[in-house]
Amino acid sequence: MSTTTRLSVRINGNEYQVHEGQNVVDVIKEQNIDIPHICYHPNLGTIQTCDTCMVEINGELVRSCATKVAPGMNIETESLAAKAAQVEAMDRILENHQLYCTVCDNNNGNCRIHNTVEMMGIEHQSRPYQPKPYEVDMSHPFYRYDPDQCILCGQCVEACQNVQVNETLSIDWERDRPRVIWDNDVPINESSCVSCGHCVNVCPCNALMEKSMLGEAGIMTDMKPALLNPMIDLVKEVEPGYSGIFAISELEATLRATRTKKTKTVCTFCGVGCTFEVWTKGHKVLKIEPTPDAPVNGISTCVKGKFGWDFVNSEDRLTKPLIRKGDEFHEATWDEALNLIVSKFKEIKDRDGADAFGFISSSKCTNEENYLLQKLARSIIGTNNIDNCSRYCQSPATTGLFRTVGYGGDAGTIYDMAGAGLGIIVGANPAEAHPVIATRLKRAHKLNGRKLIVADLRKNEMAERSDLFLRPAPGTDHVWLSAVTKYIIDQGWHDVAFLNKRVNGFEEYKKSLEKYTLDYAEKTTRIPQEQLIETAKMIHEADGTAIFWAMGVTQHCGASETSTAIANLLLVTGNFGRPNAGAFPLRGHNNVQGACDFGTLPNFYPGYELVTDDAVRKRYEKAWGVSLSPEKGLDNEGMLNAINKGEMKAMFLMGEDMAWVDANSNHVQSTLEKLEFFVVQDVFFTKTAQFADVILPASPSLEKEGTFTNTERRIQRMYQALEPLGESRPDWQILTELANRLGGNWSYASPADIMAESASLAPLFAGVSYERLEGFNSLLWPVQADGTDTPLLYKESFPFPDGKARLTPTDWIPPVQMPEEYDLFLNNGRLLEHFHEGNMTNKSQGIMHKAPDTFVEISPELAQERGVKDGSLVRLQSEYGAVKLRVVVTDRVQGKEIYVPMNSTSEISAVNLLTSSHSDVTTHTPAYKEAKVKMQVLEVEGENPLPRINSRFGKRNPQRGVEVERKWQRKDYLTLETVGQGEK
Amino acid sequence: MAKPTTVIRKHEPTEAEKQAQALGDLVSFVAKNGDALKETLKVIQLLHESGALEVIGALIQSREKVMEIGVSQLSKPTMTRGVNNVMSAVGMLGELEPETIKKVFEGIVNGMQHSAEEVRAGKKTGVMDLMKAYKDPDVNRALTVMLGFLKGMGQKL
Repeated sequence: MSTTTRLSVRINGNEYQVHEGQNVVDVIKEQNIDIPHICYHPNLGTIQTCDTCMVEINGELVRSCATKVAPGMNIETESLAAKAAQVEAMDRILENHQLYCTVCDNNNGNCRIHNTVEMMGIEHQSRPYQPKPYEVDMSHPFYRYDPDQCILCGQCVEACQNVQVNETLSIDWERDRPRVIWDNDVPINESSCVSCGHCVNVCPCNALMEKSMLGEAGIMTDMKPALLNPMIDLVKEVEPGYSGIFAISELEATLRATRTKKTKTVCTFCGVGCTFEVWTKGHKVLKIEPTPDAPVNGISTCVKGKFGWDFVNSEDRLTKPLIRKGDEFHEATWDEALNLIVSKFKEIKDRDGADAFGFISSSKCTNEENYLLQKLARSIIGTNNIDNCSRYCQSPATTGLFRTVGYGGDAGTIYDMAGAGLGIIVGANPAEAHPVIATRLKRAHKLNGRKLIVADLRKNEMAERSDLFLRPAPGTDHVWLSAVTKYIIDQGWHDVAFLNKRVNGFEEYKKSLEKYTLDYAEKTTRIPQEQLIETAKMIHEADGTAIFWAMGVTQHCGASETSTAIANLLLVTGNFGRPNAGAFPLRGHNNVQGACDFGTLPNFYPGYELVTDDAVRKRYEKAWGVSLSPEKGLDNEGMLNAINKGEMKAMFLMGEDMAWVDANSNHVQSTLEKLEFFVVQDVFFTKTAQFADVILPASPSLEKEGTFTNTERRIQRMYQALEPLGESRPDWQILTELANRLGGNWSYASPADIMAESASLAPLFAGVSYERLEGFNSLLWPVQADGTDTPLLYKESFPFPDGKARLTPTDWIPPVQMPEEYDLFLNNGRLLEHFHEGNMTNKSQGIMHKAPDTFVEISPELAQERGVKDGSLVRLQSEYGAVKLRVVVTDRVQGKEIYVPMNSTSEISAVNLLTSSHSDVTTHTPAYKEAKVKMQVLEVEGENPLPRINSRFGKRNPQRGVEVERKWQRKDYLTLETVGQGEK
Repeated sequence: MAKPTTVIRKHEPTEAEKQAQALGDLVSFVAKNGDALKETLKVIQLLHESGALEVIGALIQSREKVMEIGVSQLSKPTMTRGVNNVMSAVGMLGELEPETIKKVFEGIVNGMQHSAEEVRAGKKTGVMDLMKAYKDPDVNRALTVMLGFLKGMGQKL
């Protein structure tokens, strides 16, 4: 905006300075001049369906949302003609919408129709309300569509087609009475709808509503239709004029506000970092309400963030501490549980020393809680044996970045992801695992001409949408990445100026690529040479390349090497330190990034400062008043080995179901059995908790304050929406209490104090404070003491002594070879509907209705060869264990590659019963993606594990958007404009 | 050395424990809110004595039925017309200028007093009196007001 020229316009006789390129409606709003607008939304742009924003410009009537300012423009919002056009437009809307606000669940002060009619001072409508000949669609578990209330503004369509880009909703403009339809007009529940909630989020009235609101939000909305309908008729019959109706409905809305609590929170599922308001009544979640103020997601949500909160009030919540007595757990008081932990900890520490302890932290917990757990381990117990679940996923990505560019985080923000000329997704499936990031990539591709390359074993949604789909042999990404890099250098397409000025080690790195010829790459990866050349060309031609990667890269034996190869490729092509480019490891959990940032790692204090660095250690020793261990601690894998060797006796685990989430579950579980004393702190009675001696009931995100750091490195604050359920407590309170009973003398009144302490110690977070994170404000680290944050890394320099990045030669590590009898390659990962292993999402009835269980995806070729079909029951066996699953036949997978979603906590079907204990050579992240199995057919006939009502069976209906021209072409549409119709 | 177990022995409070807990909560609440509770009880006592409590109880018990009856009664055309009339009347009153109304009313009162006096005096009016009267400034002003009123009313009819 700052670079645009300013010009002056007249609005209602007054002169205003505005920016070139601005929409007239925005200019009017900026000056706080009242202007009706129903369909214009900052996150959706100009869709021109409602006609209410008509103004008179230089004597002609035009839509102010679709007109750009021009010098000397004379804009009238209140002239006779403008007013008449606005009122006529609103009248046409009210023809489609009944105003029964007082008994409407959407009467919460933010209904756009209500507020606009009131602002315009409309008392009566000249076009009577006409019901539409369609039933209310209640088929979907989470939301409903009421055609009779739908004003056909098409914001839902725009959101579905061009923001979420799932392409399910459209308006059938040609039928006698237009309506919104799903796919080709099927019930919502049978459509391709992925339940993301975008349409409901943007609906300006009550046509699309969350079912959780119905009969709950209003004071008088749970009335039976037998009473409600006559009451609505009565109000209409009496016709008091709308101002009278609104007076009463506003009174009612005010009453509601006293019991509906609206709290800003940060989503607790994946690493995208969506923020929104959660509306609660008592301990009940009424709905999730996103806002354009949210820095990452705006109005966007996915099925989990929008609708997946039932787990908070699940009957399965732990609400009391439990203590093991023999083979059963007994409920206990907090005193009993904490005292037992204290006495056992003291006993074991005195007998076996501090390193007999292991601590496992959680990417579900807040930054503050992670800070406290590492402080507890280091300063009170005296060990660096602390790790978190990033060990299962993202450590190799971090390592690859540390080696080359210096910071273990995304290079930029979601805007850079969407702005990149070319996006390359390697071994990641954002459409299911990071849905809101996927929306931005899909939109950039559909609307803004950005290019997309997907490299994956599976033809997932992003692959289907891509310009180029690479399908490498499993575990060979390093090879094609290196070959493409070599080809780029050979062609002279590398960024010489950038390399000379900002990067070390080019010559050595170039030499290391010698063996990665196109020939070699094609042989190893099965990717045709033409596709490799095409990839190189697309990178060369793109204005900025961003590479996204996740578990498809990082859960391999050569994961750190492949991550390094990605960073190398980006360095060679000058794709760091500029907007719309760079490396983007997509963090899987809401706070994977933060858990690592705040020091629950065996080698790092908060802010990635080594525990072996004397100066750093002294800083923490001084602050905490104790001496600290200078030895690097054990990671997850090391801890399990130490337990098996009898060296580790006690473990404290916070918020992690490692019994199912770590690879090779049988091995992990038999190891946990060997612990002398095991404390598990969790929201649920997980599989891991079954091995514990003491279980402490924790509170989930909605029941506490704190901060999370998303995949962009963005720190965001959440506020407490609910009281802790039962006797559960926020993790930070439990840790503080435990530390004090162990002699810690901690005095944190709130998480703000914890953050303040951490910010004072870790230079990376120097300027982070709760004041700066107020509301929807956020900070991207590094944050300087004055509060300046860093949305884009490496703009000036790389964080190495000479400020230069380091090209780091790496060699391909081939995947593990397994005995030949295991003839099928097993791939695994997440499913859109469920989060991870499913402990949270399997508590949601609606989600379980849409995706009740896991399954195995088998290619049509393999299905034919083995005589299986949808619903067949098969047994998969690896060297490590076996599971039974029902089959889904799909061309998402090919040949002898099969896929098992990880959403299971069952001894019969959890995929990690099959995975091995092999791991990344550098970081020990398990090689989940290097597994092989053999398959035995148990039953041929059976029910498809994916129900017919799952979105994957729907048929998308792609449109350019709401396609308002089709409305304008209707015979019964009379334009209100007096110019410009020819241009549309 | 712990084998996994899913057995949880919950401490189910006995009826007596639950009651004791509930009573304890209540006692502490009473202690905190003694005055307010006493006043509330007084109000309840009054309501009870007057029989109002019984009526309220019955209304709440059959609230849906009562509302249905109320709504269906209100929905009858005569009722909706009545409501509309009352609202129009109220609306009209709202639109009148208080100052003008005051003057008109004062005029009416004064006129009635005057006319009563004339009638009492047994005065009769001939055609000439009428001609004279409309030259009288007071009578003329009143006539102008009336004519203006008739014109305005006619415009809206």
